[in-house]
Amino acid sequence: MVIITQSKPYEEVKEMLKDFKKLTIIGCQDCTAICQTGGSEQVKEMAEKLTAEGHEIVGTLMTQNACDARVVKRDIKFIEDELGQADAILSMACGLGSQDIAKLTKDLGKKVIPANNTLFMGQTERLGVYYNLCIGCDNCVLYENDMICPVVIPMVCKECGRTLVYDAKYCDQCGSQKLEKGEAKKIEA
Amino acid sequence: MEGLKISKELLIDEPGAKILVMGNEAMTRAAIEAGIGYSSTYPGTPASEIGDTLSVLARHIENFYFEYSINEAAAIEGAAGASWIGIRSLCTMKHVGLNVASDALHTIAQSGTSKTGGLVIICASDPGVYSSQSEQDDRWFGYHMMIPILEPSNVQEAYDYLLKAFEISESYDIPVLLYPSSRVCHSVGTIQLGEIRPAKDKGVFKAAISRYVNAQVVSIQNKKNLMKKIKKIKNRMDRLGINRVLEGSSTTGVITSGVSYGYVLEALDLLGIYDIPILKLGIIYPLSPPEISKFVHDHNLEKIIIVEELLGFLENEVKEILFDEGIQAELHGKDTFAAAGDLNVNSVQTGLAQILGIDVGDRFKTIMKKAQKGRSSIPPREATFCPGCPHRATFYAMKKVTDGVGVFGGDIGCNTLGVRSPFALCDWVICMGAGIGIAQGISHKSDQNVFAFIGDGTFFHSGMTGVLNAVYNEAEMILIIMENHWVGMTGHQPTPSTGLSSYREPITPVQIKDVVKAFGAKWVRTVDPYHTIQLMDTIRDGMKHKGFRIIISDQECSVQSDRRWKRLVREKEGKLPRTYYWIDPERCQKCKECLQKLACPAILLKEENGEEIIYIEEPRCTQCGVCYEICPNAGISKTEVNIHLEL
Amino acid sequence: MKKVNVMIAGVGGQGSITMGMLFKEAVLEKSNIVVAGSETRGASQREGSVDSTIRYAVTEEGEKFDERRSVHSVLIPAGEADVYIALEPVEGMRGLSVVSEKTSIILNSYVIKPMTCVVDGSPYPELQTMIDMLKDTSPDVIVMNANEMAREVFNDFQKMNIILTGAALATGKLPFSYEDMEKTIKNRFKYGLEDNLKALKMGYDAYKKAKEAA
Repeated sequence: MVIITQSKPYEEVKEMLKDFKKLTIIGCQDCTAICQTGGSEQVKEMAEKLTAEGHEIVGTLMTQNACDARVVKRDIKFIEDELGQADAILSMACGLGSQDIAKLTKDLGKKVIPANNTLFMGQTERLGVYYNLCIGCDNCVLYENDMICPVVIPMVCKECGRTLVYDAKYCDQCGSQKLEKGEAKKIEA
Repeated sequence: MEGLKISKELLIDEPGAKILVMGNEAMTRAAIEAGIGYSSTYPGTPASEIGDTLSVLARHIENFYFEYSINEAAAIEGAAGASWIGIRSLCTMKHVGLNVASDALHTIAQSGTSKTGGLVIICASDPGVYSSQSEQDDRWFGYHMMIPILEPSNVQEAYDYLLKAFEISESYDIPVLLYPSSRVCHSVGTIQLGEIRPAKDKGVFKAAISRYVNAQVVSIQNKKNLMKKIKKIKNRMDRLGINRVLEGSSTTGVITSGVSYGYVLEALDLLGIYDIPILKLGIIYPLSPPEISKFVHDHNLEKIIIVEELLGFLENEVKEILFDEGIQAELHGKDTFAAAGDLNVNSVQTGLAQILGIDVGDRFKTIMKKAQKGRSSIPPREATFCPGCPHRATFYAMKKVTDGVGVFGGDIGCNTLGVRSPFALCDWVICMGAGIGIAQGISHKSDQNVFAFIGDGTFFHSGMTGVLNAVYNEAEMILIIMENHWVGMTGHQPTPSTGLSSYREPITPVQIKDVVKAFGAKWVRTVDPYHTIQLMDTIRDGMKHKGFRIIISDQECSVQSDRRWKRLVREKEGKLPRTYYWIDPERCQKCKECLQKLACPAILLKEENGEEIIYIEEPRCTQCGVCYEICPNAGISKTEVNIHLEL
Repeated sequence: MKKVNVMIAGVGGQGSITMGMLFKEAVLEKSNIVVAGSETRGASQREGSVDSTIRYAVTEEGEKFDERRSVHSVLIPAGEADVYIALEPVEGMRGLSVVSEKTSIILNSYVIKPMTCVVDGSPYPELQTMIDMLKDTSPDVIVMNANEMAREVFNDFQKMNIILTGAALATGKLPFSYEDMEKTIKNRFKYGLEDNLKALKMGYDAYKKAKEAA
């Protein structure tokens, strides 16, 4: 399982960072490394780009799991001084990781800026090809459905195109009952 | 290389100055003062520091050539060549190394050295077997090779005797063996410096068939010449001024040499006896019949006690002389003092007291009893692989895959530690190269899975022949070459796979995989043992194939890479990318794979509030990452920090 | 003539070899003292025991040097240690053959478990049991945790061996003075002289205090 992330457009990240000169960048060795949105090479690339723009990178850190508070708490100690000097923290983790980092650096009062968008819990075919085959419904019916999850397959309204839950009987936007089976969310790069 | 901190001191040109040195350093200084122009060595405890010091000092000494040879045969042959053309040469090795050098040295002795270029061999012994596979008694080579042997008792004598050895070598045209024991090599004492004689730059080889081409009639004549030289030395022993007598009025006398001399003096001091005359032999082969007779007759000896370590070599020589001279006396030696294991003041005191009929009383017994009680109540503290050692990863992988089922040929070096818990993958230790040597013999006549281990130092020393033999004779086994690019156990000397010359300058390293492929080995895989999972897969793969297979486990000795790393950190004041491995107590599931199956000394267990916590001790960790790789539960975390970026 | 024997028993990494060298260098300038001794080498990085012996033969005022009464062996004969410094408890137990009623024992109570305890589960003895066994060999036993003392003042364990050197000086049995050791430390260490001298005094004072309390 990997939390699938995609990099926010660079212009968007640049805009969010424009008021902050000194930055610390935190990448994550787990999901964002697999998606190549927050691994060590991406952190390096981002640091280079931002330095060229005039920012000062006071430190980078690759954490094991940004979403594990126990890990982040310990890792923050490694760069305590650098975080103190920074004006903001750029998180290249997923949404869970970014929130974890924000929570644990609250006392330092630094803004945490997320560099990625988080999409879904995905199965990885290969780099860039991910399938959302589980939505965490807490009521696994895989066994009864031949090990293919029906819950991730949405119903789509033929009239207005709205995506509905897998067992929807009518569209809650336009009221139509003309629904058809859609496709599990996926990314193909 | 602890002693090297003061190695520059060994070059100072201040005759009369006093310095505090290790025995090995004393001999090194003496060699420099003797003006040696050629020195060769193969590392071996307890002599290693001599070669190491010379390799560092070589560039500062004019006309001085130094080499780390591939093995002792190459070392002695090179040294002989230099000696023959008039250059003073020194060859150093440990006691078992003399076995390897002895093939050449036997015949070199027949051909002699030269009048201006003496040849001295320092062969360091290991009574008590503190760091060898045996405590063989090399003094018997005296009889066999017919070369004089000098045995120093302390640091000052180690220095004095080396200088003397060159004089004897040149006066008598004969190689000389200097035979310090490990106690002398590693003990610390003071020496007074002398003048440094300049080394000769070059020499010229002059052909002389009757001297050098040893075959048939020439060999017989050379042997006769050699026997004459030994006889001459016997007759002129008093002129050499090396042996001496400590006077005393008793009719019981002691004949001794080496460190045993010191033990005798201190034992007699503790017994309160000061009147026993002592013949202290510095040259222990040959012995001089006139000298021995004089000692007996001058003191009217009725009882002679010979105190020596190991087999009764002196005893044998003395008995021969006493018999020939028709001297009757009560003789004690190996009937009292152990022939196996090293001696010390305690055992010599006990032995002398027994012979002299003195009751040492209960104090000694009580002390030893309490000491024994103390020792038996504590766990052993055995040497094991250093933190980050790639051998640990290799043995871990082997253990995981084979579960210890099979035949595991062990060899000499750091890889020998594979015998230790939790690996226990070393079925024999015989000598350099015997891992693969014996394993292939077994492989031809057994259906078991046969493996052998070898380090790169050993591979070059005497393993290449074993590999070629296995390829040529189609042995059915797997050889694991543990290429850590250094001769580790003896103190990190360079080997051809290091990429450093004998002068520690960068050169192109020899690739072991190219060597074995050139021999015709077909199945050869190279893996970094830090990628332990990959190594395990490679071993499994190897076990599915047939024929002679080689796995090269290629990763630098962690002590060396860590030293370089720590130097870099100091230079950059900590401002460079760092990696930390650490264990979160909650994520850790206490499976103890890292603690007990990998058994890295940097991973420890402590108790906090009644709970077991497994943790990594950061100052000891060398960040090899093996624990991280093999943890089955993602319990070990890896954090990479880059501060004050230099991209 | 008189002999003074000192033994330092420790584990690799604790600096027993450096300590041994300091004790030897302290008497280099003294023409009436012969010093000999040895250190275990090769075991230190590999978790092994590392011991240092320092043996002095002192020719007293008005005496002549006598070879028969001097020091020759690098190892200390049974029970002949005057000062026995155990850098680690189990290592202290291992070297007991040199200890007798005439020995002043200094025990560093900081534990370093051998690999055999970690891997095979061999039990590490109780500290008090070991202290009692030491007291059975000699009445003069002083225990201190030099590692913790070092950590408290200097934030790491490194100075622990200098602290114990100071303690050894306080026994009064060494054939050189406090000032001789200060000079030796100055000659040997390029950095951190102030801290080293502080550590020396710490050990000295701690020993004196413990002796008074005993």
